[in-house]
Amino acid sequence: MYVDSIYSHYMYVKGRLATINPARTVKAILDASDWPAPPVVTEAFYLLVLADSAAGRQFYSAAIPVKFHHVQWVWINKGTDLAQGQRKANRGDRFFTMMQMRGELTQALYPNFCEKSTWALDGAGNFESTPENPVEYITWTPVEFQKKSAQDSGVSWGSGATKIWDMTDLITS
Amino acid sequence: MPNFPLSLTQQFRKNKLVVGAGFRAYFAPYNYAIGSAVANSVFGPTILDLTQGPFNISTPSSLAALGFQDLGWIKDFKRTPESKIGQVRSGYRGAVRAQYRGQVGETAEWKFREYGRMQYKLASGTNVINLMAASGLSGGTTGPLSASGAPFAVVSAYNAGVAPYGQGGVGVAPTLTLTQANGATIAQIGVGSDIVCDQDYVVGTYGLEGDSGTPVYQNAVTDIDYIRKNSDYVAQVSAINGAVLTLTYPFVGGGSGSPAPLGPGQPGYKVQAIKGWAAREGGTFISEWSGLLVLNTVDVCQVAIYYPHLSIMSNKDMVGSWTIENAGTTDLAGAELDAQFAALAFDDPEDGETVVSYIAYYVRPGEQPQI
Repeated sequence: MYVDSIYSHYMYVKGRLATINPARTVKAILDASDWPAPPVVTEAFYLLVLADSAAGRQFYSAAIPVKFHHVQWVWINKGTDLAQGQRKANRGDRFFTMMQMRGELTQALYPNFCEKSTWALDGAGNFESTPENPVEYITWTPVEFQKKSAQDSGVSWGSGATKIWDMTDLITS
Repeated sequence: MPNFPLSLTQQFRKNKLVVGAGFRAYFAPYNYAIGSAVANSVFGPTILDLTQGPFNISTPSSLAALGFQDLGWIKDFKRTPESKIGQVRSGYRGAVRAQYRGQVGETAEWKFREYGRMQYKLASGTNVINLMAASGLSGGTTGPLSASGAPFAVVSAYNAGVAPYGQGGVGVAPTLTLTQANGATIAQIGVGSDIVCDQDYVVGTYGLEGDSGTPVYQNAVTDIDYIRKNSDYVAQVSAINGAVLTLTYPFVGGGSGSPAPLGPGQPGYKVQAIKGWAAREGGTFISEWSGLLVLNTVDVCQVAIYYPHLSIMSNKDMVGSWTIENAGTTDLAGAELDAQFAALAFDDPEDGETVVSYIAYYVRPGEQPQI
């Protein structure tokens, strides 16, 4: 399916994040226009899908369109509320958490490629994968981070953008 | 639906593409005197058995065991075959009646992204001369490289260790045992020092001297440290316990001596501190090597280009740079070793053919090899 490369990327990165920081929540894949989805979970990763562009003339095929899927890993840092008796800036750890999540994501995206699988829900509702046969891989570009601060709410928005290189399924007729 | 022709739809087999992130370079010294007449050994001419591929480059020690040292990621690798096919034409129309292979050759160019002693020696194609580090040296006003290496310590034993040489708590670090418990102090060697360990040059001898096979002309050299100055056997000291120096990595290189290299760390060799090395433009020495360049793809196939006999053709640049964005201040750039190499002839014992390179392709899992 057309979406398999995005699913493969998401599940690969999610799997690495589970090892890198088991306490980190990875919530979902979303269309970018649906972000943020309620309920808003802070200090958690979401994967937004923005756009698809075609590979240039160097690699054109009508039968196997080669695409770049533009995606962003995004998160919102609220910061940690002080406990009773603590004396320091409330939610003052947003910068640290922002940088920590960038570091986690940088590690999780390593080595910028993974095996492509087809994905489907089984009867029990489990998201199951079947590796492409013959084996196929997707790659993605180096991640680039951005940050935005909302003065009114006090939260920080983080994003890590990358593009997934994908040889889509063969169109046979 | 119409059945569109393949030529218009550009169908391709996905697992027939070779998609990787570039080549990595592995080199072994070439023994000028022995040539290709000896079998695979740690003392070059290291004939690589291509049936042992695909090569596990994630574990450098596995290629090191075959005699090839990892010289790192290379950039802008370009092969230029120079073999020629001559044509025999006849008749008044000048039609080609036969073709014959004539000149055999190949050049290859790349940039070493990593800047180390072995890369330096390869890219410059010269004998790289170690710069002695001990204080109070004499002779330095005679010539740029004339300073004496004294003081020194004497080796009693060397253990090459076991990969990955104690790094991460795995393997065994190499050790160099001196004849005196205070040898390191005498030689002005401390923890973190860089050292060279090799034999004395015997004044009056000439030819290919030392394990690195540095050519010496008759009566041209009087420096007893000359072999150590040209030695590949350099290392860093990570710990000192009495007479035992622990090294961060074993000695490498040194496979070019005549008639056969003695190997590093022989009893009686001397150890001296160094602080770097220098190449010279000019001179007569041309270093020779066996080379292996490996490209791994994301889907686990491998292209391995093997040069049994490779030598410098031209050293293009040792300060060529890649720029680093540094807005508003001075320029910031990285230096690379840019060189062009000539592939020398190798008479393949398999069938007597004279060739210069082998381009091996190891198929990926699930690939149909017949098409």
